[in-house]
Amino acid sequence: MDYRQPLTLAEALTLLRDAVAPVHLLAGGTDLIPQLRGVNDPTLTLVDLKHIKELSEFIIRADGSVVIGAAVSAQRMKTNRDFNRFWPGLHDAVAVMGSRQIMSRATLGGNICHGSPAADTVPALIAAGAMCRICSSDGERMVPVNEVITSPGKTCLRKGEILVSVSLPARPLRSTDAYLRITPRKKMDVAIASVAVNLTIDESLCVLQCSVALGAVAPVAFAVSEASEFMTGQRVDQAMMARLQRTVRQASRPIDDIRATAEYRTQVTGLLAVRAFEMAFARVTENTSRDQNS
Amino acid sequence: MTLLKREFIVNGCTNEMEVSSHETLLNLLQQRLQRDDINGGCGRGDCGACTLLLNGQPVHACLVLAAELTSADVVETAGNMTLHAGNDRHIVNAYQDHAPGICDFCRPGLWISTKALLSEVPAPTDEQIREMIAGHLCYCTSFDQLVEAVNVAARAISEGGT
Repeated sequence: MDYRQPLTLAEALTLLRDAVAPVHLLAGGTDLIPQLRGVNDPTLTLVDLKHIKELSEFIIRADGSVVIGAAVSAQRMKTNRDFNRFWPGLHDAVAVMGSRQIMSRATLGGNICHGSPAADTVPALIAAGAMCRICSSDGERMVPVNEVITSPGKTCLRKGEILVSVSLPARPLRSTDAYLRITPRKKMDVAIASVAVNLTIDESLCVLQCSVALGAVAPVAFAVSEASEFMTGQRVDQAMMARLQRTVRQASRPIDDIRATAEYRTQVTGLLAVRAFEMAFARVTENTSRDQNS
Repeated sequence: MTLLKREFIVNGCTNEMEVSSHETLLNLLQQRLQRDDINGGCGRGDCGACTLLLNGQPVHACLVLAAELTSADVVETAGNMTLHAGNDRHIVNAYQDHAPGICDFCRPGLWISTKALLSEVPAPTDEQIREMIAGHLCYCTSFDQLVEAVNVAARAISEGGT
């Protein structure tokens, strides 16, 4: 196995373009290094991306828009107060990615590109409308995060491409997000269902825009567009919550496995959606009243 | 096999070695540097036995490649904590006094995680301590004893003295 540590994006892209044998991209390594255990393929090349500036940038602008390099660690995101202020839901998703040791190493890019249906950050990124910057030696393209993971463990990245960064849009007024998940054990476990809600309300507390995304209840995380459609312009009440619960349950396509039954996952996803919405709504109304009082 | 020249610091001592591209930091410390203050368990970042500090951050040595190290990298293992007075000694003493049943396999990783936690959160809540413990598959002793040990260490550090 060959190990390479490019210092610039151009150098990394050239390495990938010229590679004739399999290449693995290394960022945090929390998933990749156990997979490589016992593998001593002399033709394999490992390209360490951690020293490339574009992949290590973490920019938070005054309007709430954010650029997160693919090799930015979970701990760096978790401990950033501005990130927590603008994107508390995504922050909560990052904070449950693993133990403190894993948080030191795990990266946002790795969480996306590993392609797990239960990846914590992915539903929150989908709800946020995140865009992925994917570069190759031929140029670059921006891809919505929900199109990056195509099936479990597979991404849309072509040979020679690198996920460089993830961009979050500016935060409108009266807008926030929330992320909730269910795990069989309280800590250090994988979600059996997760829901992210990104919400914007107007002055009269009606929904201006709401995105709901689900994780671990389908082969890939996805947005429930039916929920966004019926909630837009509506007043928040019990009937809306009941309909949200029904819509989310209908959209879920979970499987039975050792950790939970499909029926349980379906039921709990509906409840999680309501709770995540209520959490986002409480956050946004609290922020609004605080801004008015200050 | 590709060999790469690497320079890095372990517990204050500079090491210059040739490492193979697939060698983990855990292998390097245990087998090449013959360190007995770090243990290998699951090899996939679940058990926490190989926890050490890499540039002040707690990491699993089994999930770091030796090839990733640069001359700027500083590694600290649990053995270093017994050599000095001060905060490290408070942690070591608190574990000896309040979680004496903990075995040699789990202890080094837990010391390191405690050191990392108390440097980030000098007065952690029990919930924060339990979250730290959750990064270690340790059933040697009761979790309550571990929480007590960390609380005692935190108080001793905040009160100062050696």
